[in-house]
Amino acid sequence: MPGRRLVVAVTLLLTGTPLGCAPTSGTAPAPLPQPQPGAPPSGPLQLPTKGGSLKFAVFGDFGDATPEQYQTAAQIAKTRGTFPFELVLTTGDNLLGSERPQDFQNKFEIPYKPLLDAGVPFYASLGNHDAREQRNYKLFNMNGKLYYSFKAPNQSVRFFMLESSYLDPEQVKWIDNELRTSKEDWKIVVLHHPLYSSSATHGSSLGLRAILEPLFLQYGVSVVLAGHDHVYERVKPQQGITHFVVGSGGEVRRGDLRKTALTAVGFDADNAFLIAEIIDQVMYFNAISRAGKIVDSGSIPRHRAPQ
Amino acid sequence: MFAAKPYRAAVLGAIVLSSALFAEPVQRPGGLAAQAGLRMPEELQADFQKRVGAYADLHKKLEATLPKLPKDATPQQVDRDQRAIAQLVVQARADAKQGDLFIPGMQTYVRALLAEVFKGPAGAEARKQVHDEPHPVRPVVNKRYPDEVPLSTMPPLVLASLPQLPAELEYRFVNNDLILMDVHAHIILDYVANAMPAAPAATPTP
Repeated sequence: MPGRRLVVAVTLLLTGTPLGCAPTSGTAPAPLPQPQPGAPPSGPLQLPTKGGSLKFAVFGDFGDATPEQYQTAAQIAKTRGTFPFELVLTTGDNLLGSERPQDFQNKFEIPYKPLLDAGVPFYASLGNHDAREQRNYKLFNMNGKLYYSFKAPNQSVRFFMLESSYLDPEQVKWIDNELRTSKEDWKIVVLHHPLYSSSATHGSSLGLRAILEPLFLQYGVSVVLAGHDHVYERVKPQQGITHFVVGSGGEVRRGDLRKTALTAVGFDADNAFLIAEIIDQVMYFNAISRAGKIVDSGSIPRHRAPQ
Repeated sequence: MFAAKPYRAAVLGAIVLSSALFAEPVQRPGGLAAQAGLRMPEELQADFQKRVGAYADLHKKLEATLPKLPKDATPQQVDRDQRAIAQLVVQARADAKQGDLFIPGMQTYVRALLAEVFKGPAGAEARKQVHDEPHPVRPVVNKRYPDEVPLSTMPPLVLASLPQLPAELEYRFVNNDLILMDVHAHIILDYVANAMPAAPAATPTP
């Protein structure tokens, strides 16, 4: 696939398309899928839903205004009826393609209106499709910053939102310092490019992994949430850290997941999003498809920094 | 798949390189360049910093003429502000041409530096990162970077090797060309054509 894209890119380069010309793109509407043979059973959420816990939702690669995005957004809103998550984390590619004012409406404000109306804050990370101006968009809560961290309202949890398409030395110094000085029990990193991914289209970002993983291990990061590959994948714990790819909030790359030893659970047959709940030293999670099926569930113990 | 030797070598190489590079926070061009026997002439570095610094000053001056963006800006306000600064930049640099910021000596240096960065397994991984989305365009100085084309992912090794930029500017790739872009205005300020060396030809399998 990458080779084919490179050929396409080079071919287009040779044709000399001048900068400023919009490339052609098309998104075919995808029908709501029928249950697949062998699909995990649907049922009530497998989460404690305990009072006082931190409940949140995660998705990425969503802002394409496709029926898939809208239907997944509707499912997310529906899920909140039974699992009242208090915040949303995005793993980037919040707006794909054009980013004019109407796109903020069509690709974000309209599909997630029920959540926004309910006052659920979104905390965005930026992907390679996202213009830097998104940091000034109030509803993404980035406060003008390309990378930032924030603490959960009432729990000992801190989220570190990175800008992984431009990991320059300044950002590395920043994350090093933020992780080192963070006193919270739970350290959760959100970024666009996955350090581990079994997808054929992009796969693992080895250059980022080489820089970031030693810091994550040193400072006791428990969970890394990424996107970029348009699938859902939970990677087997890597040196104690659990990595998720949650990049199927919009158009899905069906069949893109390869069978590798990395995958704990993968789902590329339809859209999916993640909901999670942290209670003391355990994070419980469910991944839910557009059709409302639980496609993955489990719990993760907090990962501690080496003493 | 990650037990495969080339990937392991890439990771190991990246760790070794990045450890060396990030241990050198201020004079970053020295890191990889020094390892490769490349040395950025002081006058070239001073000249480049002067040029990008002058551009940053221009950007700030132009930005100061615009209404300050409120903290709770709407997408309309953000878009209007962004296009307004872009227009001012384009007008102020109406005569801008390729080579104004990346002077010929700097272009030569950047090509030599990136030839080192993109060598070997770590370089192949970095190349894969840069090319992981198609960029069906060619850079043109003083033109807007098109909204529909994703930004290239910049490998950390590349960013750690190139001279540091003021906050108003950033490096990106468009195919093999390294562009210098105004972050806020989305305007391409300059570029080095074929800054990334062509990919080595695949070894034919017997």
